Amino acid sequence: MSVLPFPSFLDDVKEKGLKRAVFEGINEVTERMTAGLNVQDIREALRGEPASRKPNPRLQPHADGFWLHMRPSYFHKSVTGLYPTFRLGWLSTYFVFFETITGILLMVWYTPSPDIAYANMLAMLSNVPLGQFVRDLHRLGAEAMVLIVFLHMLRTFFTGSYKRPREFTWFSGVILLICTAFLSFSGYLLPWDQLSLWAVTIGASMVEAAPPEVVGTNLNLLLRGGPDIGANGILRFYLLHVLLVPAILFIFLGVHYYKVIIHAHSLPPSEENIGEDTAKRVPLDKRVYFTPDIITSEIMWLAVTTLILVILVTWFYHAPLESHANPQVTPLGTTAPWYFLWIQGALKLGDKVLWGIVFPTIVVVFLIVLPYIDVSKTRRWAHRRVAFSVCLVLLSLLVAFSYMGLPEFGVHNSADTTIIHEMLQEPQHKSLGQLLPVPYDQLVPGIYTTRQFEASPDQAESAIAALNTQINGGNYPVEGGKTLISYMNDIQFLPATSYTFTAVPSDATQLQNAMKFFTEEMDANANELLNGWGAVVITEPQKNLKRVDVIITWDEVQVLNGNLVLDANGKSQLVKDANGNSIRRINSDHFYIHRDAQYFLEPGG
Amino acid sequence: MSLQRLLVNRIEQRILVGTVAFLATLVLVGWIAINEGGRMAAFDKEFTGRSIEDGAMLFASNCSPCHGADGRGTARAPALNSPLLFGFDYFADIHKQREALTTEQGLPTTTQARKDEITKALADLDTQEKQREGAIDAAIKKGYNPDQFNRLTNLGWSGSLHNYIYSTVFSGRPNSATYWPNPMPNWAQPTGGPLRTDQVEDLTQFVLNFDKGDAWTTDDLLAVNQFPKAAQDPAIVAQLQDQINQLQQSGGVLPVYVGVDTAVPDIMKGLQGVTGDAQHGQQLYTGQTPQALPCTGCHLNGSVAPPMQGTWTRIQTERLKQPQFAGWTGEQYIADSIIHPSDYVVPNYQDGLMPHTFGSQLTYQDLADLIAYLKTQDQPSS
Amino acid sequence: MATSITAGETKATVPAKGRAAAEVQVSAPSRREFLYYIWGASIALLLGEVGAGLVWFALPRFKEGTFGGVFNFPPDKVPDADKAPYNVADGRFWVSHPPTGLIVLYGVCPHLGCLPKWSESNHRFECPCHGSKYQIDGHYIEGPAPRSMDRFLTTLTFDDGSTAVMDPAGDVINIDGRGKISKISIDTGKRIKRPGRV
Repeated sequence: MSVLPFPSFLDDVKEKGLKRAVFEGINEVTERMTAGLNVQDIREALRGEPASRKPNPRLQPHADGFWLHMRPSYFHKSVTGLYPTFRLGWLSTYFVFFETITGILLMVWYTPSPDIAYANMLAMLSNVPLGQFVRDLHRLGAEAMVLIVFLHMLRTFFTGSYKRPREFTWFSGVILLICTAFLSFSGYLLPWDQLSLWAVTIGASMVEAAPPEVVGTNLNLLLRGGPDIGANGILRFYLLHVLLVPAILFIFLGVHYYKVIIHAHSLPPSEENIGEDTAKRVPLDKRVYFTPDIITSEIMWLAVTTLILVILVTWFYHAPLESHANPQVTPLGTTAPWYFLWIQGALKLGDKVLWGIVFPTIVVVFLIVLPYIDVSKTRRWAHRRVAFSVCLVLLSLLVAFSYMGLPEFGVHNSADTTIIHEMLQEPQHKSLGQLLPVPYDQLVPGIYTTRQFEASPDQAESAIAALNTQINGGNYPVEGGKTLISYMNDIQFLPATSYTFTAVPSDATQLQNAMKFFTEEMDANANELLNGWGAVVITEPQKNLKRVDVIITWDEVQVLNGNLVLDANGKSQLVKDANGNSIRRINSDHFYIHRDAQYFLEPGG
Repeated sequence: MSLQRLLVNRIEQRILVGTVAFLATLVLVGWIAINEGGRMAAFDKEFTGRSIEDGAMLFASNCSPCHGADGRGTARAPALNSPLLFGFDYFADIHKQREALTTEQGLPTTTQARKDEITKALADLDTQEKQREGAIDAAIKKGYNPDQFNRLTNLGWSGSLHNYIYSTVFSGRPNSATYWPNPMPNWAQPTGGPLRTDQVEDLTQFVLNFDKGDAWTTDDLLAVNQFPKAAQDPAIVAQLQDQINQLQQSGGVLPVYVGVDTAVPDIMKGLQGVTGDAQHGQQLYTGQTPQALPCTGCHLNGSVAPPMQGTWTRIQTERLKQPQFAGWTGEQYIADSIIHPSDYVVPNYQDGLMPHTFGSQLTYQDLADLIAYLKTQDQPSS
Repeated sequence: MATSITAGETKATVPAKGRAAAEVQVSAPSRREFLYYIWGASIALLLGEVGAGLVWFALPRFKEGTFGGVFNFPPDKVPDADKAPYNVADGRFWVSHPPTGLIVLYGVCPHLGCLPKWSESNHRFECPCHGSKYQIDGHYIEGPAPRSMDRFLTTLTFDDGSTAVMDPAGDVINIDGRGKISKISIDTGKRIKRPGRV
């Protein structure tokens, strides 16, 4: 008596009327799709009422369903708030998925080839709608993830959650930490700008230091696919970043999370009796059920975290893009990303095998065996004073090494190189030097000198005039048998025919500030740059394009083993040539500024 | 506010926070999306600026030794900071006015009074032109031809200026007596040079930024140190160079070529006062002069080009009778046919076969000679 | 709980499956439930925006001068009336000058995607794959093609500043008595298909 030759929905319609049949159909589908909850059960959960049928349908999806079988059906109330976990484990997982999604989006527009990658970055920023948005999210997410997983490890240490029976959970977590670091490292190379290439070259070179030599050399070649990082290298790093390390990450994420669930989340030590692990026996009055409370909280935290990231990326954070990777020029101030600064700092202490290979290995091994060598009696803080002290010492060392890893620390250049670099540097890590941020119109073409700012404001004009007399229009002899003019012409290709200093226009305030900085630096290095003065030459070779030259000239002083030779009064001593005259040294560099060019100085710019 | 209420409402607070957070994200992403068009355009502009900066750095260290730090050329390489590269015509206004006036003069509807006015106006234009030429005389002596003011046209380059500069930097130029005695090295890595292709692009952007659009002045032209040359047959170059050397030594005047772009009224102006030598014209026509003109190859028997025999008669009796040549002289017709072959194609013949480059190979004397010779061709072919 | 019936809801019983089924409540949602629904709507909105953003993000974009964008064709390269059309390979089009005017034809055969060649001796386009043939103005002559050749929207600007645009049907643009053409703008993003072999 079926409507169709086989039983179907139409039979229900015939029997009960369309409206009821449809509603019952929806109800049934809902119960099947949620693996146990029909419309009424869902509504009850949404209202916050207790389940009206037994057994509790809200537990059914956790038994029967795929997605929820991985989540516990209830949590202990004490671990559902911000404290004691700060939700860092949840946040770490959030970032794994966040990075995966934003990463896949970036893959739509990216090709891992040294000829194409940088152009792809430019295209993404200039010709892909929301391209900068997705890229900034991915970069910010990566840096945030490294920080968050580290804090998660720190929290787990402080609450002693790595102790029996959770040692293997901790181990899988250390693996995840290493995966995170490698993901960040391999991804760093992909934009193929100067920062990428050189930071990763430094890191990859540490692999080469691994003893014995044959292992190190070949590991290095395997990683780079060539003697230096080129087409093969970027492709291998891309495969690591997109396939291999994510695969390992997801496998260990599964292991890690599984272990967390089957041992249940450790409770704050203050809530357990000493020696007990009561996490798995949650009294009924302490249970917070997944549906609806936990899932509501999680979606809320998802919303809030996403909003925070979007806010940061809109106004406060933009991933930098420096100039195209140049395997032949290493920029001054090259540095590792902040989370690897500690290795950089360690490397500055001595032998690269010891500090680059052995030391990080010891750190990792120490982390892995930590649960097994920890002999404190309980998880209570009072019983773990030694462990805490050791931890604080290690954290301080981490900070100290990171500071030492900064480019300024320990890398000593001559004063003239350093000052010129500070005035004119290539944009790097958000720092633009002194002259690049000066507004285009304030760079008034002319020739300016630090002598103006050494003197007091009313003496400035005469100081400038005195210098003009000294340099005689540019016919001023410098080292190598050249004059100021011929040096600038032949070596720096600046076609100026005479040099006459003028005062910096009074309304060019930022140019004035840059000159004052220049003067102060010259002053601070007066011993090394004896009788020195600096000059800034601004010309306009093309429309909307200015050229800025920074010149430093000084008398050569005596140096022994990298240190200045000082006389009794602490003053440096001149070097005299064969005729008994001092040697006038000169150093100069320049860059060009176009009116339209911008370098991400201002967020949102 | 009891603790119980706080706890009961906690869920609702979370729902509200969640909703607000999602809505705020919605708004922010929407705001970003709205501004994307402007942001992308601004980024493009910024990065072109950076590209020009990088190009300037590369130019200073790689190109200035030959092309000059100011791009105005040296004995080793021609100027890039030059109105010639960008095709600026210093006489554009004069040419345009002259063409308009001459056309008006030739119309049957123009009154005699007006024609007289026009004649006077043309004379004024001539004076203006002479003055302007005087002002740029120094550049002309260095090899600048005001009638051949566009480098790309002179070379017959059919692509864009960007591609011309890019490909020159990319592949370099071999040396050749016809073009330039010094070679230009190849710069791009794919051709074995030191620069990446993006650096070649940066250099191209920098050179393109020398352009001043409509604002080129005569000072800019006079500041150029070195102009490039047009391509010619090596044997001719050698012979012409000899001629030039002889003229320079004897203090004579250097030859001025008609130019491929020169408009017909200007050509006729240039022919005024030049007496044509029919004998030399015949030598030119039959390819016995250094230019080795290929006229007879096509024009001898009339299969691919109108035959030479009887051409003057046909010009007088047939061609000049056509409306577009009203008011033209036979000499004008011949000059137009030689310098601008595609202006008019005789019926049943094909366009595009006759070279357009004769203007760069013939001086006004040569042209006058050719015309004089062709005037003798008044016997129709059998 | 109120028992008033709100629109769209009826009492219903879920078929028993070995468990006691609850009665569906017909009352209006409580405040909390309502808030959940609002939240759900905001999530749906956001997902919608994200979906649209995703599509916008991933759609290919066309720059001028590349196929899909606008080409500026130099007027001096326009062939003379009834002479062989001019092919622009990058733009995949022919600039054709039939006796009736000017037309820009898409170079891909509407049959199955090959590129017809211009046959000078037969004075028509002939597709090498299956033999479709078209006149100089793209009009279908014979062959398996379902329609005449497609056209690209073209805008002509003349010396005096006036313009002529191809009409939406894609007919030949009449240029009689219009003077010299100063600019030809061909939008390869806007293809006009003829309704048939017309």
